[in-house]
Amino acid sequence: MAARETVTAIYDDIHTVVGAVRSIREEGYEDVSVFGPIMEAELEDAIGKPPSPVRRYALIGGLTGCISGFALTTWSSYYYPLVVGGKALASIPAYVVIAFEMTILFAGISALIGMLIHNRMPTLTLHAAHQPGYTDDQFGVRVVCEPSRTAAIEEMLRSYGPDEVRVER
Amino acid sequence: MHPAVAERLGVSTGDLVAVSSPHGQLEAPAFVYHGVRPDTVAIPIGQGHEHFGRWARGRGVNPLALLPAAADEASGATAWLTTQVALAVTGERVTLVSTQGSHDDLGREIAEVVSVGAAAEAEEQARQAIADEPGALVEAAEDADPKSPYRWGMAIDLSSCIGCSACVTACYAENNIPVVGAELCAQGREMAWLRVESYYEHLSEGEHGNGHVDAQAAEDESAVPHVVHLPAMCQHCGNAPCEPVCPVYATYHNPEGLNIQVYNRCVGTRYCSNNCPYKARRFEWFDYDFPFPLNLQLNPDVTVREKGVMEKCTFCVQRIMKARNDANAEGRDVSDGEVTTACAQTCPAEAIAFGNLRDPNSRVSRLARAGRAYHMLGELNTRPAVTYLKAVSRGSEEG
Amino acid sequence: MAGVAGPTRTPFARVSRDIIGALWDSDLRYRMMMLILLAVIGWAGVAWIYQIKYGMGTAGITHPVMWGVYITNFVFWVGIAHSGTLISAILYLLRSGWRTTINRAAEAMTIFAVMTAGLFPLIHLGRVWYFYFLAPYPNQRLLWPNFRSPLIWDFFAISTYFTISLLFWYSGLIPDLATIRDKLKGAHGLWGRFKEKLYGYLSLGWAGTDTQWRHYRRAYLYMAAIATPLVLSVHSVVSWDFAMAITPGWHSTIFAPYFVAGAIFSGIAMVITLSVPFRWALGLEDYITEYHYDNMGKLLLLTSLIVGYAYIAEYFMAWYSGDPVEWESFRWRALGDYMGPFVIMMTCNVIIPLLCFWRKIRRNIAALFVISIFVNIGMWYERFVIIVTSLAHEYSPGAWGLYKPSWVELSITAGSFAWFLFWFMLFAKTLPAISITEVKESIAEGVWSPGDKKEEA
Repeated sequence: MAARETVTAIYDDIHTVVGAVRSIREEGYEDVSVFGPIMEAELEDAIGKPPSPVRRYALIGGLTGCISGFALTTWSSYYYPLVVGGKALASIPAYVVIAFEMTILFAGISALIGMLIHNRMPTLTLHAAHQPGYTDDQFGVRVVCEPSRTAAIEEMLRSYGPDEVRVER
Repeated sequence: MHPAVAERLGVSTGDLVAVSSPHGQLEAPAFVYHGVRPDTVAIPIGQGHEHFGRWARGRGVNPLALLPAAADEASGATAWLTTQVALAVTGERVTLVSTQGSHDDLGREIAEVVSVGAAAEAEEQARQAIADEPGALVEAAEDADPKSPYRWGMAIDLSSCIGCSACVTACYAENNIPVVGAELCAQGREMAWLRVESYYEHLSEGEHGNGHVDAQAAEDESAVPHVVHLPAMCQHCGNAPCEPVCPVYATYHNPEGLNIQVYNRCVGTRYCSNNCPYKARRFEWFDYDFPFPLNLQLNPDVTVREKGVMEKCTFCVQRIMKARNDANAEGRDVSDGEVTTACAQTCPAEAIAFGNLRDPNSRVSRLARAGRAYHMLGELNTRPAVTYLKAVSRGSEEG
Repeated sequence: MAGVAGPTRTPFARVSRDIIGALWDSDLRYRMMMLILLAVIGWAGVAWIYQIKYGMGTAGITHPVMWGVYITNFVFWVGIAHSGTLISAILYLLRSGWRTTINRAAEAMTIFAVMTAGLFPLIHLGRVWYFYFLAPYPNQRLLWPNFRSPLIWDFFAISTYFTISLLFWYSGLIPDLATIRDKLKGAHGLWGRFKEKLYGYLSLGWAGTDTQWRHYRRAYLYMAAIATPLVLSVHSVVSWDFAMAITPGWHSTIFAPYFVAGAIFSGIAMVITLSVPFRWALGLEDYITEYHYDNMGKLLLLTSLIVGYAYIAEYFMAWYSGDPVEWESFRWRALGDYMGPFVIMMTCNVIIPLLCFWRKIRRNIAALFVISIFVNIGMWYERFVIIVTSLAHEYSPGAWGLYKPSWVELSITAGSFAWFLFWFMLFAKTLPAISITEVKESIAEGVWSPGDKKEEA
């Protein structure tokens, strides 16, 4: 692959960023990334990446929790069979509570683990393009492209009134 | 003394009263109680020792000090009932401890009473039922492992019970129950596994025991209601409310129908006690001392419990174990009368019967089918193994 | 202390500056306060050790009232723990803009309240050294806990609630921690470099990329979605500790919704009680305004009405059931030996919060603060009344009794308040007490900006 160039524009308003990203995407550029202190659904739509797979982690975690909740309670009641209060060994209504709590616990933990895995967190090395302002009041739009298109992109980003535009070759 | 006397004298429970007769004088705290006739005062005998050492010293008074040296002319016995005394207020107060919360059972199917006529009728029906179906078992017999030959149970005849508390003493001795003293008893920390409750008698109406508080006792301050004594202990319920709430299975139903308390497993959440409608459970609030020589009388077959565990009547499980082991060694089942609890063994009136509810011919099974039989708080459907037999009213003939 | 006043380049930068500016520096009052709290906690620790050494008898609980102030405190603190996740999760899902400035503190409150509540089941155990018997761990003796027991449900519910609340709170903190880390870049001195490293590690490598945001927002949404039924379940389970028993006064199907409403009620009250001094001490008056108190006042009023309804419904059901045992139990609750606590409960929880019907009172922070303190007192007494009066007058009149808390119980109760406040004050000085990220989101969406009181809302 040929050498690629990076154009970074810094804005201070998320609505501008949405416009900038949308126009870049409309031109067919794929490799756009955005940095910022906040994120909005509108901007996520503009970036146009597929929904996060984190939801699947939550589902699988929840199902695992539910099944293991019922399994633990029922199995241990038969394994250690003591009659209490004349109740059945598999007292399902009582075990629903345990299964419910374990569903929640597992779903929550696996959603978080999914997020960490997909974000490659925790890490000690920040993203190479990170700047301190990105967690304060600056939004960065970073486009990686063929050298031939750098100028066009730079102009497009400038048209949205950035604080600063940088080109790295 | 009766409330009417107390009012006339201007004393309440705990006020020290000087009692004097022509023969002697003593001072005792007043205990205001409906169960004494208004024209008498009652002083229990058996206390006020002078020669039994440090543990007996300074406890109670000896009413013999008031009695004449001569026997009563009419009966030829000691003049217990015929000595006249005078009462005087001393102005001092003593803390008196009562373990009874209320003497009114509020018609809750606790201390049931039946009239003579109704009792006779019910007994006749019950005799007929037993004759028709001699092998039938009571419902509570179901609540054990189907393979077990035993479902231990108890029957207590409230008509026979005279409230002497010998059973309580026997239970303390048999089961190494700590004696905690008046101060802790006042806080409700009495450790008795078996207690004798006393309730004012009121008649049950019809089959369902929908009783009303005896009108006289409730309204007429000068009336003397009769008192029913009710030995209450763990009922070893088939549907025990205490069992499912224990988080660690420290209490469970064993194959012989006993409600078992596992001291080693108990962590002391005390939920079981909160959920026990009979309030039969006791908690080890402290590590209690058995100072010499009391330690020598500990029963080696029974664990001394640590602080922080729950305990309660076990139906003298150590005796059951021994009887069963002996029977097993001889290749037979435990027969009726071979094992009994300390309380049943001690009862002078034979009010308590203990045995196997799965044996239709055992004494307890026959008593459990008696016409006067009922379960304490039966409405809760806890299926207790203890059956009570209603007291026959000494009050009135009509039911 | 409060951030240096003056204009900033953007509103976002002002948010970062104000909130981070409130961190770390502490004055003498703060330190004295912390010392006092530590002393109270220490005293409660001594009382607990005394109780462990000599037995539960050092507490006032007795036969038949086997649960007393400890379980009252347990339920009270679990209740307090309910506002946090309610405000953050349920209001997050409902997109209520006013939650943004109080959710962080409320979530922190949740965690500290659960940490406090979680101590009481241990403190009340007769043999606390065997507390692990409640956990379902494989062991050589092949013993398992009884999953039918509401106490085991409690164990699962409370530990799940703590774990999920902690993770939810921490996930919310990650972008804010990264903000602090970047603000501290190039800090001087040993302490400065330590802080930079610490917040660097805590932020887990957050760089604000859109990929990170995409996964993060999804995870946060799902955690909010599952935390919502969890909040409702936790206090239901706590209520079942009572409702599953056959004790008259406890055995009631109304308990779960009644307890959940009560928990939210007391939780909101505690948020108000804590946020008033806290916004003043940290100089965040522009961030938590009359607008927020107005909304909290409405929530307080709503939950107060639900709780009041539950009180009445309980009495109605006791009467309607025709059960004389239930009747006597409820009659005695209102008119018996514990009439005082009953009157306090009714006054503080049902009558005083009615003042919130007036908008003027809701927007008067001092008035709302006073009301919230009454509610806290009332809700503590509500649990006391439910637990103690029901146990003291049960089925068997021969076994009726009374209960009076001992000095050990009162010391530990005081210690629990100190313990809770200690953690909260520590939090207020070390972590952003208002969500930086979410305030920025509010600004960007035009929902609300710092200083806006929304008089015409």
